[in-house]
Amino acid sequence: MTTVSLPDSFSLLVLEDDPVLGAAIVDAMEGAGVRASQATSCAEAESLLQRESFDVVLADWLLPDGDPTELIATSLGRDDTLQFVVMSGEQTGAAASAAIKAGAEQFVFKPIDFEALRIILARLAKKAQEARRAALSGGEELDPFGAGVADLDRSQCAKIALQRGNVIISGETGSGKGVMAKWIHAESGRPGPFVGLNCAGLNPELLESELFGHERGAFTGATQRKRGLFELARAGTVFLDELGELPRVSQAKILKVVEEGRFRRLGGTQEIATDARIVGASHRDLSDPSVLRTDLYYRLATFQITIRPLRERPHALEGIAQGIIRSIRPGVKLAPETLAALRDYHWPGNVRELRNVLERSVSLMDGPVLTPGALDLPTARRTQRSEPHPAPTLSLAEVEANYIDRVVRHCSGNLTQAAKILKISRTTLYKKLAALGAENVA
Amino acid sequence: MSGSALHDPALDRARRMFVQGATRRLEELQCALDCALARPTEENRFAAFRLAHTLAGTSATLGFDAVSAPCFELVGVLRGEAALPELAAALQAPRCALTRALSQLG
Repeated sequence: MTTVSLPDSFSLLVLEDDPVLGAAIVDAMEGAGVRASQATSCAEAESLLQRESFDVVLADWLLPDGDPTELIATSLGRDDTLQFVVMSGEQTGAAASAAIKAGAEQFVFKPIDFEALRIILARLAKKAQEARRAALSGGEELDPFGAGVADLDRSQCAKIALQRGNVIISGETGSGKGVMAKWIHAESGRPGPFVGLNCAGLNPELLESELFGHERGAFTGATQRKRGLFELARAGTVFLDELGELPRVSQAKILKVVEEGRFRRLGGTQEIATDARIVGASHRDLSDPSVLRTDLYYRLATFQITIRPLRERPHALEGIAQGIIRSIRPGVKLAPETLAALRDYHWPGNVRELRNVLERSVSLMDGPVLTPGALDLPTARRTQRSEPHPAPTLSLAEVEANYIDRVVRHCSGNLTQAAKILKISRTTLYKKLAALGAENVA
Repeated sequence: MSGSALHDPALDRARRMFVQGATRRLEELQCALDCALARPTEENRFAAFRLAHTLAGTSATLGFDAVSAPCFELVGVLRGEAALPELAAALQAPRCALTRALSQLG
């Protein structure tokens, strides 16, 4: 028998009302390393699909509570990456046609050939996981890697992604920590969802309600039970952005979840298990005990990835800029002078700022080439380097003259103060200004 | 027994489970068929059809062709709109075949 390998993290829901056949399929798929669950009615399957994430649903056509067309439509409305395979013992085309119309990807007739089923499931699992990856990236290619983007290279990060350990991503604001976190989740093959929370600006009560969920009546306004991120992200990833802003009191509670893999909803008594992986990100030094409890830091920092700021990798800027422009308006080119201006800017907001600048500039420009004139860089925050020199053509004397002029302007014409900054005597400054033909030299 | 099912350990376990529950399943199906014959309403006919359909699919997948063949025949008969005398006549042969096949399993 030919063996077909199914993805390790593949998850399957078998909806079959015959317990013997359902158990046989689950048993066979678990034997192939698949995480498989069984439901015997559409209602039970719906309940499972609301609680857990699956790649593929293998559904029988004739079920105690009807055919699965409504379940297919509802589930695909909730998660369009899910794949349905419908099976039936009825050897007619009517059921197959109805199932495919409802959104099923495949229809198989009983008797089921298990080897053929494995092939179908392997193909659909790949499709589901690719669709999930595309959904995570919002349609763009989810790849945070350019040359030297992080302190670790792609293969090292891919190895980290496949581990179970938690990850901390450091980097300046806008450097792409969130994109890296999504990439890690996508590469991990974890079947559960990626759920994120920005910890900044949330009070402990709201934060804990988001993370752990709450029972009905747990506090004023809790009119119904809510599942928290740790519950939603079973077999998935919880991304905690701005981890350094996490209130101290909440840090202790998260530590308990990390250590024990269990938590309670606010107002709840029942302990809930979670195997969600935590990926935290911050622009702050999380190893500083005043920012994050040391015990929590060491629990979360199993793996660490540092994203370099954009200004430290000017060679990568062209590729990133062109990728962004392609996503905004394909066909627009960067003029060499524009690229030079982009490289000159210090990008305190990193890739996020670059995207904003390009989106603004490309949206408002005319013609197929983005020229320096159309580039809307925030001038107030330009550094000295960002003065738009088309090319390094200035002489040393001109550079000196420019700098003296800048210092004098900075000191509002106070030459004594300017001389101090320039570390030259006031007389020398006078002479230099006179030589430059400055109008205000007495 | 059919094709690829032969050497799969999961299917071997399922076959043993199927055999253990075969008598009960036959009784349920016979009861449903009797109801469909006594009162051939849409509901009764569908209940028998669903049981026959499930048993046909499972037994065929597990390789019990002697069971699946009469079950598929029952499915075909019950899907149709035969009147009571024709229905009773059409069900007779597969019912006997099914009873024989299931008695051999036990």
